[in-house]
Amino acid sequence: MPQFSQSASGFDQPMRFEADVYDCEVIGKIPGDLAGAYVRVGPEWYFPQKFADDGIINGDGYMNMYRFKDGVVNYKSRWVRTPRWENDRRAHRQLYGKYRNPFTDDPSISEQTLAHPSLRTTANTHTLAFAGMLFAIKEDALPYRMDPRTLETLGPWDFHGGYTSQTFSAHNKIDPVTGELLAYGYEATGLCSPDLWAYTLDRAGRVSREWRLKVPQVRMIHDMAATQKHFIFPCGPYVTSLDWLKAGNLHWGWDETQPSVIGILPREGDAREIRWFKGPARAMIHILNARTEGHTVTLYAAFFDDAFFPFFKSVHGKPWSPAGARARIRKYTFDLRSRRDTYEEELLWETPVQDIGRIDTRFMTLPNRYAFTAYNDATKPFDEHKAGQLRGRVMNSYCRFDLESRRVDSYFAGATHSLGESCFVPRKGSRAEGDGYLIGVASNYAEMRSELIIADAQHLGDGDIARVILPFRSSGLHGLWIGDEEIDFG
Amino acid sequence: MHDASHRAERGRLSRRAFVAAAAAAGAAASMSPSTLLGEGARQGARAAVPATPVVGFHMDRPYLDPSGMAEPYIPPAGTRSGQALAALSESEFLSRHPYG
Repeated sequence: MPQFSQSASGFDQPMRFEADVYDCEVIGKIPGDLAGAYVRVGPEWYFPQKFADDGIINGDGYMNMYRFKDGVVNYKSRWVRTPRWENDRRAHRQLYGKYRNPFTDDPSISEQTLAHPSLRTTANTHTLAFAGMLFAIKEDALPYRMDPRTLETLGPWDFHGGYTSQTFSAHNKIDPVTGELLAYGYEATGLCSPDLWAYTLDRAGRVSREWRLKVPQVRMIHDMAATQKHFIFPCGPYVTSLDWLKAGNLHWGWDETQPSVIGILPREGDAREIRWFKGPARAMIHILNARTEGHTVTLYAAFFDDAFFPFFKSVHGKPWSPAGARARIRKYTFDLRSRRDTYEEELLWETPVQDIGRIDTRFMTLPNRYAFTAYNDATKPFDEHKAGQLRGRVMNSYCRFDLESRRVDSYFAGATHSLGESCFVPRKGSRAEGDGYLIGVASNYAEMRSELIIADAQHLGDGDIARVILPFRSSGLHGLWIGDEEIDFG
Repeated sequence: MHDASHRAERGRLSRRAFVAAAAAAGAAASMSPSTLLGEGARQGARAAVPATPVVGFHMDRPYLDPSGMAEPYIPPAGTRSGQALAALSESEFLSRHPYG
């Protein structure tokens, strides 16, 4: 019988069920041109974690879908039934050890997981819609195909055999000009291997090109950027090695003595043409966008001042500091004509933000103006009687940040709410950047439930157009709006 | 030290004053205590009944006490969910809620 720790209470209570909610309660009116689904994937512990110091990002994959059709929203959630989830179910307990460390697994499975670490995946990080298929992804294995009608797990997918890396990043980019998927896997040939393999896949989902790269040091490469001419691979100093794992650590350690390195690879070049640039140590987790103009590459991202995840310890034993775990929107400039291996960094907004910002993806790889993300607006009220003493810890607002003028437009979710990642949805028939809806899921700490927010992305200050109310909380880390024209949801 | 106003100031009530106040509370919505009670009781009622009604709580149900004498019900902070998180350190909180 699973025994969760007493600290997993309140909003952290384990949610161990799968759900179908038809005709969800809605406050306001669902815009008529929203036809498709908002699909999220996130970690949930089905069985309690094996080690108390493990990170939440090691939880089992849980996919949830808000299906929009004819002005009605239906909700569906299912576990991603990976081999790991199935093995735990059979054992009635957690067999798997720490985040991406098979050396900490139960002896009954460790021989298998050491030989095939990708079998440990939880597919718990993000979703992808490509070539008519729906996936749940985590960066330590191939993507898992999901049935878009039922959210039944169909199994790992290697794109007709053409994708040969053992891993597939959680964040890939679709080029809106060519329709290609730009993808990559790091630790591509096995645990702690220095292999970074990059790919382009055509609209039919077949690999059209592969680059086999070596990284200077094995590091977390959680997200990448792309322009019309380049791949960009940012690597903060989250490092690993087999010795680090054998010592029983979580996969990553933070090495504050190392610089960040950022690799730039020409899309038309070969693997030897990658250049690595160095700069201050930052936790580089998520990207906003990038562009190539002449010989200049510009990258926008909300990188952290220092280490972010408290559970990834310093390799030198330095205590983690919340002061450094602040993400702020920055601009990085690379002069490709120069022989220097450095870049310029400019802070665009002092205010800390949620680092998982989003853009209008029709402008991915292209020059764009607006970034959307969540942040804590300290001028807004927080109802501590109803929601607990969480003032200052919640992301109570979404913002649209103008990368050119630095103007900020804000949406406030409410005095008992905290917002997760946002997602931009273009208005039907529009072409202008940012003309559409900003959607995202808020945690209502007073009512212990999740609420899907729908706001006009050009008029965030007007409040939400509609809220879809769930009678329980629904977890998710990353999400994606998928239109009916992309996938047949039935 | 035996007059009603002193008793009210000290937050204590005699049995006689309590009965008077309870009667006053029951009738407060429709009539004044002077309609029902003698002069002595009226003095006690005026002195003991605070001006503001309060929400009390009895048998799992809230009720409005117009006398203002019930123990006010103040819900504990974040009973539904948030308070359990408030006790976490910054490290513990960010470990569980890195993204909202």
